[in-house]
Amino acid sequence: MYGNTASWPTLRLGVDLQRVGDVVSAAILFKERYLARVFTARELRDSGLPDDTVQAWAPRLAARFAGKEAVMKVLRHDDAALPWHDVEIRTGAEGAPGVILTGHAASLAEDQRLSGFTISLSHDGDYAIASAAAYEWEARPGAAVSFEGGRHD
Amino acid sequence: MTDTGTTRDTAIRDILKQFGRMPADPGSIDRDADLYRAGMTSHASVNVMLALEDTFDVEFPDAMLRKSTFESIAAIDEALATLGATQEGVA
Repeated sequence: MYGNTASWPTLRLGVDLQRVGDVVSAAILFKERYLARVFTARELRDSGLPDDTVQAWAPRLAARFAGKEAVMKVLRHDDAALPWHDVEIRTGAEGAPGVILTGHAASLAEDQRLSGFTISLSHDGDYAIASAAAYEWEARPGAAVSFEGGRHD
Repeated sequence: MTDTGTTRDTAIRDILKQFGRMPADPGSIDRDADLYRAGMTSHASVNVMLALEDTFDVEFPDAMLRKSTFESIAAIDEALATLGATQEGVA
C-alpha cells in the first residue's frame, strides 16, 4: 500500500486513426493553405516535404495529424479553441516522436496538471495511427511521493 | 431565415456533401443536428473549414477553431454571419 496516494499520477491515454488518402486529397485540393494551417514547418520537414515523394510524406503527415488528435484527446479540451499548431509532433534526434505544446494547448496541460507527454506513431497502407499519453497529477508534479516503507523521492 | 441566410444554408449543405464525409445526407439533415455524431471526422471538418473559407472569402481565426463552431449547420451559419460572410461570396 502506498502511504500518500493523492500524489500519484493518473495515466491519460488518447488514440486516433487517420486515413492517409484523406490527407493526400486535402493537400491536393487545398495545397499550401491546408499544409500551413494544420502542420508546423517542423512537421512538414520531418515528414519529408517538399523533397520526398507523396508516397513517402503522406503517411508520415497522416500519422502526425493522428498524433495531434490523440494529444487533443488527452487534453480533453471540450470546446476550448485549439489551433492545430499548438500541438506539434516532432521527430527527435534518435527518430522517436515527441510532443511540443504551445499556446492554448500548453495552458490546458498546465491547468489540468498534465505532464510527461509521450506519443507513438505508426502507419500501414492507407491508415496511420497514433497513441498519446500523459500523467495527470492530483498534487503538484514533482511533489514528494511517500511509501509506507519510508522511502521519499 | 433571411434570403442571405437561406443561400448560406444551401451553400453549407453543399460543402458538407462534398467534404463532410458523413453517412447522413447533409441536404436533409436538421440544422441543429450534431455533425460529429452524424459521422464527420476531425480531418473532414478541416476540409469543410477550408472550403467554407474559399466559398465565403473569410478566414476562421484561431479563437473560432473550436468544436462547437463546426458542430451543426446552424453553428456554421452563425459563425459565418459573425465573420461577415454574405451570399456574394457564394459562387
